Amino acid sequence: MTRVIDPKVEQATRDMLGHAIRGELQDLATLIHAVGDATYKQALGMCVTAAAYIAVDVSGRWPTDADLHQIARNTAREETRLDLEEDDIYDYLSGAAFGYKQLAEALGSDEAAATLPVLITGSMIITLCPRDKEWWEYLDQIWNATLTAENLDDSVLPAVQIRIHRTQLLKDRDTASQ
Amino acid sequence: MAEMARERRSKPPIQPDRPARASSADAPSPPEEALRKRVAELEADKAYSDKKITELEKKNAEQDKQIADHSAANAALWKKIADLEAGFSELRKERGDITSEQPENATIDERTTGGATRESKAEKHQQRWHLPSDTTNTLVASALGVVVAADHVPRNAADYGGIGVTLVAFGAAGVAWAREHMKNRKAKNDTGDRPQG
Repeated sequence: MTRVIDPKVEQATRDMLGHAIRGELQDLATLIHAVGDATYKQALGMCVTAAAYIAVDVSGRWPTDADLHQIARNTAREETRLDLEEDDIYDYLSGAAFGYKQLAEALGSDEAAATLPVLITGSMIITLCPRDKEWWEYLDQIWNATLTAENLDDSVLPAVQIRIHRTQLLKDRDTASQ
Repeated sequence: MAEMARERRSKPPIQPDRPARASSADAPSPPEEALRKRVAELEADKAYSDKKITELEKKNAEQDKQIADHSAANAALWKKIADLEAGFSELRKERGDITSEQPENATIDERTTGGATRESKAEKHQQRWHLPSDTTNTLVASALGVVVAADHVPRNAADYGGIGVTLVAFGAAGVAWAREHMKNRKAKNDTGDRPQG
């Protein structure tokens, strides 16, 4: 069965991230209320997916623990509108995005799980977006890549792994030779 | 009269200062014997009690020794735990040092945007999702199921929408409250049920 992203949830997630990025917390609260609990929960899952993509993308490899700390540090350092801390971002990435724990377990409580993912993901997108792209264009890239990956036939995955390994190996050789 | 005289002759003369019955000088009187017997009994009781007390005191001393031994063993265990924790903390510190000694990932720093550039980008309003082609668009709109979203939040979880609205509406204070709540919960989980002392 073809796997898809629900356009209604995608639109809600995009609008929520926009409010978070611009620091419009009252508007964000209004939007969460308008979409309701079920859509909001799906939007939180979309945020985790986006955060994982960004972390892998900016690390240029499967992120190490040090990479996650660095991403958390840089994001918290550059954030000026939201009250985010490095530890929040690190827990979110290491626990939920890469530890595949449920949000409440990764972040320690339902309250944190219901509040922080949109804010952290918004902050990560605007801070780590490629310089030649607007953040929503980067979000397009994330969703389109996610759709492509999710719909890959299982027979393609070994070839993808070979490509990943080759790319990493060549990159490491380049780094070593410099 | 003659009869009275006969009777008077047959009776011995009355001697008021003489004891009524003759007795040996060594034989105790019955109350004295009872008293002596009672004293002997009490002395036997006392000896028994003394023996009991001695036994209990001995037992008490043994228990005191056992308590002291247990306390010493307990103290030794706590010391071991403290040593292990110190060792663990040292290891974590070393691991942290190793982590911090690792060179920063240059790719991450290159991609990090801050300052005025970040601010001006953040001010712009987002556009809608542009899918690669109309075909994909149709596919996404019509197909069944969703890719993501359910894995990280169980269906029966708390009312995240309600919590999110409440906390986000309070802005920075709400986020700070959620963080404090998270830290308290984590600290509680880390402490566990370890006995105090």
